[in-house]
Amino acid sequence: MTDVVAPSVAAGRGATDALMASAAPDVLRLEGVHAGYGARPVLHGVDLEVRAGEVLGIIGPNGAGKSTLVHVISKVLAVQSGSVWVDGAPLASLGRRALARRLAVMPQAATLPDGFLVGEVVRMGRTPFVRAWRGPSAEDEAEVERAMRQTGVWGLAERPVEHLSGGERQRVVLARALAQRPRVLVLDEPTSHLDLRYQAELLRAARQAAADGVGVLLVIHDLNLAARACDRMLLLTDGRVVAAGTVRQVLVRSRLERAYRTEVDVFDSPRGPTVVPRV
Amino acid sequence: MRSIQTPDRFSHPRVARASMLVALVATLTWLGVAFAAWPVTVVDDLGREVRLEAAPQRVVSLVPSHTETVCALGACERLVGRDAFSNYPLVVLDLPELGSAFAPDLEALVALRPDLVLVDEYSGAADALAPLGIPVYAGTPQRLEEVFEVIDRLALLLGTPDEAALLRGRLRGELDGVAALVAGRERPTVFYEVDPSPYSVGPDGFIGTLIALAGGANIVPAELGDFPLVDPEFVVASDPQVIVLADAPYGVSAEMVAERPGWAGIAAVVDGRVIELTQDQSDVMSRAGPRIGEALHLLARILHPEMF
Amino acid sequence: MSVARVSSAGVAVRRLTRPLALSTLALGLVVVLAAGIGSVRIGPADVTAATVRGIEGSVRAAFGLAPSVPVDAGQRVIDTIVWQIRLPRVVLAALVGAALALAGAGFQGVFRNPLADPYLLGAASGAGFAAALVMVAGGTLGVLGAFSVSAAAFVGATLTVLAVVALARRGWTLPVVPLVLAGVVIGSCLAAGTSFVLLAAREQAAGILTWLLGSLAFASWDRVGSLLPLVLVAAAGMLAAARALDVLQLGELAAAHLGVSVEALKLGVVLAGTLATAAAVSVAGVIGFVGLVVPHAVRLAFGPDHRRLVPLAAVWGAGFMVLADLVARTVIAPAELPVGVVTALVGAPFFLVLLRRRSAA
Repeated sequence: MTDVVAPSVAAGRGATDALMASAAPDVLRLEGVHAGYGARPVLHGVDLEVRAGEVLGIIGPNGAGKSTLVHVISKVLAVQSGSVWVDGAPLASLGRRALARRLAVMPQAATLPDGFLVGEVVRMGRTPFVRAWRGPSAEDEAEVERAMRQTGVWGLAERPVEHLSGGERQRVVLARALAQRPRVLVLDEPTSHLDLRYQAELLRAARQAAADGVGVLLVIHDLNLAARACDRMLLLTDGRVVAAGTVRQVLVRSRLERAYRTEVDVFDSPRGPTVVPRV
Repeated sequence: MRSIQTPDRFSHPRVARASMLVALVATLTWLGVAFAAWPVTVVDDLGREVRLEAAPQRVVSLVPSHTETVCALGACERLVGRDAFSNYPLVVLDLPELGSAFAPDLEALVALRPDLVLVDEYSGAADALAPLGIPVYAGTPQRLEEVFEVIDRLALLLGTPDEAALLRGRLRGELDGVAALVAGRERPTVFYEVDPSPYSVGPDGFIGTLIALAGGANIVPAELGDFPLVDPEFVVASDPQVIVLADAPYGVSAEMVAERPGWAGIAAVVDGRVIELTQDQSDVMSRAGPRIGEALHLLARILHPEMF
Repeated sequence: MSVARVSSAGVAVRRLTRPLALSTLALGLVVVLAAGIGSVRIGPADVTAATVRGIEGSVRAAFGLAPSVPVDAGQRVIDTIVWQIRLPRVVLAALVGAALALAGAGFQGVFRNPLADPYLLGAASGAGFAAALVMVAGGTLGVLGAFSVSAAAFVGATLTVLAVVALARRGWTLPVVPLVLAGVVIGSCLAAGTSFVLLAAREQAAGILTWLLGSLAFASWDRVGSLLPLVLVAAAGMLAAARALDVLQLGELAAAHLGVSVEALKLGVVLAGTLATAAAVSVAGVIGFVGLVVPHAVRLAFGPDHRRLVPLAAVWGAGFMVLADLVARTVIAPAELPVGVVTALVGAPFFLVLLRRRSAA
């Protein structure tokens, strides 16, 4: 059922990076995960792994189970069966704090509370490290600064978050996630509502994180952005992985038409395939 | 002792007898104070023991009926402070006012250096004053008979047992006199309105007992308690022959009662026997103190005008 | 608004020490002012002397020593007024204000709603109902004596909130909307019960109403002593939760992603807030507006982060309450205004000005 294809040398940059990454340890692994809400099962036996240094894209139509997958990985939703390992440790054995030291989530449509300053919000990323009754340590502050510089929001540190543009807000949220210094970074639709420049900026920051050795799980609707940002992809449909592999192996017309139930054209180019639905 | 003694009046045998009585009472009082068994201990309505080492000379009353009782026991000049509602006898209006019993001005009260404070049992004032080392008596009469008990207790505290005996005798006489006057007469049914909610009074409470003594039949049954909130429908159905508006000083009038839906047909309204009490009359009726004879007389005149 | 600085401790660190020190100083001045003013005029020198003698007397008593040289009768009256009536009342007002503001700050934080107040989950109605019942029953419960009404109010408030929490919980989670709904419904139910008690017990109605409106009239060091540990525990709990409350402002999901145990946090803050509210209500009745306005005003003035908000709200709540009570007991002396009336009367315009200045900026 699961259609895993071995990486092919024919693919472009993504494939070579993936080949290199395959030597790296996996930082996130799911085996046979079933999960859902009450009596309604959503995920039916999902297997996946994210290795340090790679960007794994999760694509699929609405209702395929992408958000549920994020909830399972971030331990907001318990698995019904199957197992999850984060950075080598079983998810079930990790407390919230311990998990947050290994795995960061950039949630979809994050809210930033009025009145807080950018620096304060990013510092919240250090929450799992700060001890009760103690202020942030010098190491915490260094991580905050690193994350802010990496995402280009260092200059905004003293600005109240309500005065930020949409693109700036998303970079602040990413900075907060990076301040956790995670082994796994989960990005849930980080580019929605952003214009081209901010989309590019954000995905460059995500790739930079991967280059620094983080395993990135990118949940994204936009197949063309996914094609440019991911090393490997996983196509989720009705709670099942129907395709996994390099970008070119997954973004195949027949697979996409079956998954999305609409006719598409796939145009290839040296920078990766482009998918356009027929209207 | 304030008794006016002019030679010509003194010669009148009745005045002479009265004067001798006064002299006797004065002597007895002196003896009573001089030989009273101090210290005295009285148990108040909160079950606390109130102990006085000597006759109190600086008394604060935070209850209007206690203010009246203290004065009726001849100890008016020992009062040094009062609550905002104490207004009788008139001399007490000159005393410093200390706010309401529920939030008295404790600082001003302490500054008066009282050696006895009289409070009611509900306000919590006793709990606040006792730790300050000031003797506090807490309790008010709820029933007519308790008026006599409280007179005795206050008299014991004040060291005025003879004034108490006289006062009790006078009040008994007043009550019995009025009761004898109306005895055997037809008893008109009465609705006594305390406020326009309408709250009324039960037959066992202090006002209810006075109504019965005055030859009236309270329409409120005993099982509703002493201060029940009654259904206007019940009042209409009971069709009282007399309605007493103790809330008239607060703006309720006979016309307003007649305009209440369904009340226009009540016998009292039809016969024009909806009686508006004045502020003074309302005070007299509501205070379980030394003016209960006056209160009973007032009620009897309302219920049996033909007798007066 | 530049409240941040760059320092070795990091970027965007808002100062806490200086505003807290200045606020505490302001509170101290307010307390001194309130201790100096009362219906009996007492000069500053006498107030100070009486306070010193009062403290000396307490210390001597604590060490089992005999009282110092007795003072004359006039001084004794002043000592009683200052040390046993005025000062405990001022200190009690401060504690009650701090407790209510702490609870308000916590509830507003945990419900992420600036309209939340300490009575949102039914604490006031529960306390009021229990207090009314005890007052009707005669005002005393066995050994509790003068503390019966307070104890009943405390238990009533706590049990009500626990019942609300129990009704609203779904397994181990505490969803906010059912929680608030359950609080409103149980609160209305108990308020109706109190109204019924008021109607049924006319003789005690005035006393119950006075209590419900809130009053500090019968303050004493005993009451201060019974309130202080509860407020300290609640304050410690709230301060411990401050950082997590900041993170919670990102949303429950985001807070969970950052390692916050959201349900434990919500339960802890609700319990700490309830402890503070129940303690305040038990000694002073239901005083409105402080718990709503003070944390909000502090947030507008000093920013939203709870590590500043929680302590500053406590200090400003204390100061506000002391001032309100000063007005309540002096403006129409010897009569007294219900202090809840003053807090609303003074608080509302102050709050509106703050809100307008904020929206204009």
